[in-house]
Amino acid sequence: MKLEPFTLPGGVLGITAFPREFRAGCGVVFVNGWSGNCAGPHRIFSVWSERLCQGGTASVRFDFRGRGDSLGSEDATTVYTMTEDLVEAVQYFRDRHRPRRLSLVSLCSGSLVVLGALSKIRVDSLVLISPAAEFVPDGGQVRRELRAAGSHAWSYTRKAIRPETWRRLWQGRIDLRSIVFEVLRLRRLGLVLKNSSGPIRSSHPVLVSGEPSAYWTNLLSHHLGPTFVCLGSRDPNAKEAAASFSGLPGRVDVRVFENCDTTFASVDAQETLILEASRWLKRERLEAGAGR
Amino acid sequence: MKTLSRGAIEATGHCLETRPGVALYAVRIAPRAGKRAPGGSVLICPPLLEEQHWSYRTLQSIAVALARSGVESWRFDLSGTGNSSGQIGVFEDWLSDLDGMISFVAERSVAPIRLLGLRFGAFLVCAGAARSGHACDLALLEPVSDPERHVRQMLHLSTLAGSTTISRDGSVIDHLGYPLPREWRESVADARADIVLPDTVGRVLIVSLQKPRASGREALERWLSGLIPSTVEREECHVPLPPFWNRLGLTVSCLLNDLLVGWVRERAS
Repeated sequence: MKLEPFTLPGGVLGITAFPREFRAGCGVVFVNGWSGNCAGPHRIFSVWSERLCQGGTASVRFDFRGRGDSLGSEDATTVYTMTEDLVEAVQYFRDRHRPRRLSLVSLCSGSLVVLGALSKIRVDSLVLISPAAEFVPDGGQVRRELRAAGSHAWSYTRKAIRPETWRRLWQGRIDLRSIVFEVLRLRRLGLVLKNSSGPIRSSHPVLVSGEPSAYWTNLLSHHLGPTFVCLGSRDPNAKEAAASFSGLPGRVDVRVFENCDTTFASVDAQETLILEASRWLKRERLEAGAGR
Repeated sequence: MKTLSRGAIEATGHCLETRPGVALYAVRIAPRAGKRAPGGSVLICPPLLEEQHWSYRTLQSIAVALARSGVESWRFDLSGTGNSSGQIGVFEDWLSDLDGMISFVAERSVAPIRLLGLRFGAFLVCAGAARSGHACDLALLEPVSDPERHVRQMLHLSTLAGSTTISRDGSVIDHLGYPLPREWRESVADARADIVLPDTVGRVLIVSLQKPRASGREALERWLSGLIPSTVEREECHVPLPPFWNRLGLTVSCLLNDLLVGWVRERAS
């Protein structure tokens, strides 16, 4: 295996891993979630890259601007900038290594980035691991979130009148970011609920109102190839997500992995995920080759 | 010296082979060509496993702060962690990785090279300097004095959380997806044995980020007294910060960044 680091304009850092005998074969681009770095949680993408190389497939993983090793301000990172970075990374991979087939593998919020980028890039297949669906605007879900956020806000208010809280604040032992996050979440939820009678507007370019299936159908409409959705059974949203994705038109395969959490945080879970997803990718390649 | 703007620094990735078949991934953050100051280089050694994951961006902010002051910094992943290849083997493998990184940086940078380690990384840096006799300054952030105890506590807490399991024969511990072989745990336990820094080490800066309990403070002091010869200049300070190596999100570390920049530039001048 050979590792080739690269830097894109704007300070995006990434690594290409390719087998020594790679000749315009198949390629995979890994897309990380909201935080963390391109190795992925518990270096799942690093391990996966090595396995892909053993099978003759090259891969790229990169850090979004404001994340990992890439330059840029953390606060300036949005789904928009992440989408731009992904498009650039895919373009770099295509220009430099010219893979015959290209697949995207994303984790958590990376799935939103992938789906947002599909209007600008064409890929042959998608693997979505624990795709984030929290932006799905559903009245019931919003009310549940509002209740949870309201409970946190009441708890913070009660703590605010205790002298001990202010002492801890002075000592720097209070996580102010969590408090700010909850306040902003309340505000956002309030706005969503206020507008929920009609189309919900948002700063995200691909959010639409209506049923979750319509949301994902709209996002996947730009993608002509198959999609493999991987969910962990210990993910609290797994059942709902599995039902939602299974009902989508087009070729969407859904697999719920037993005893796995959202990030597949164990050696066995990682191995199983890598094995199954790699098999699925290989099967897709063979079918696509047989179809020509 | 004037602080450079963010646009005047650059980041580049590098791969180096320190042992056959093992590629280490390193990132250099430095002023763009033409804006270098004779401040030398800083090599940042990461903490252990998930602590590296949580502290990633904070260490990167230190590197950016150094670069904006004209000092280039290098950050790398030990073999079997992060973006480096290979598996976690024994503690000596990581000492070899560190040696390899120092040689790699020395070939490409302006001397002197300073070593900066966070938590377990600080211990690794001391063990590396003791073994190889590198003539460099050391900055130890919240250093771990007893790595065996550190690993044991880490595994204990994650076992309670259900994130760590042990294989039936006890040979491998699955810690959050990292396979930790018995040989590694045993080599970490052996690593503690009486390391002493050579006289060639310039200065040692010890930065505490948390207020330790009295017993912890005593244990650390005993270790430092045995570690640092009396001929080596030693400086200690405290920068209160949340434990960013085990919490989600970015910790604003301006105070720490400023302290480290000042320390590096003081020596350079």
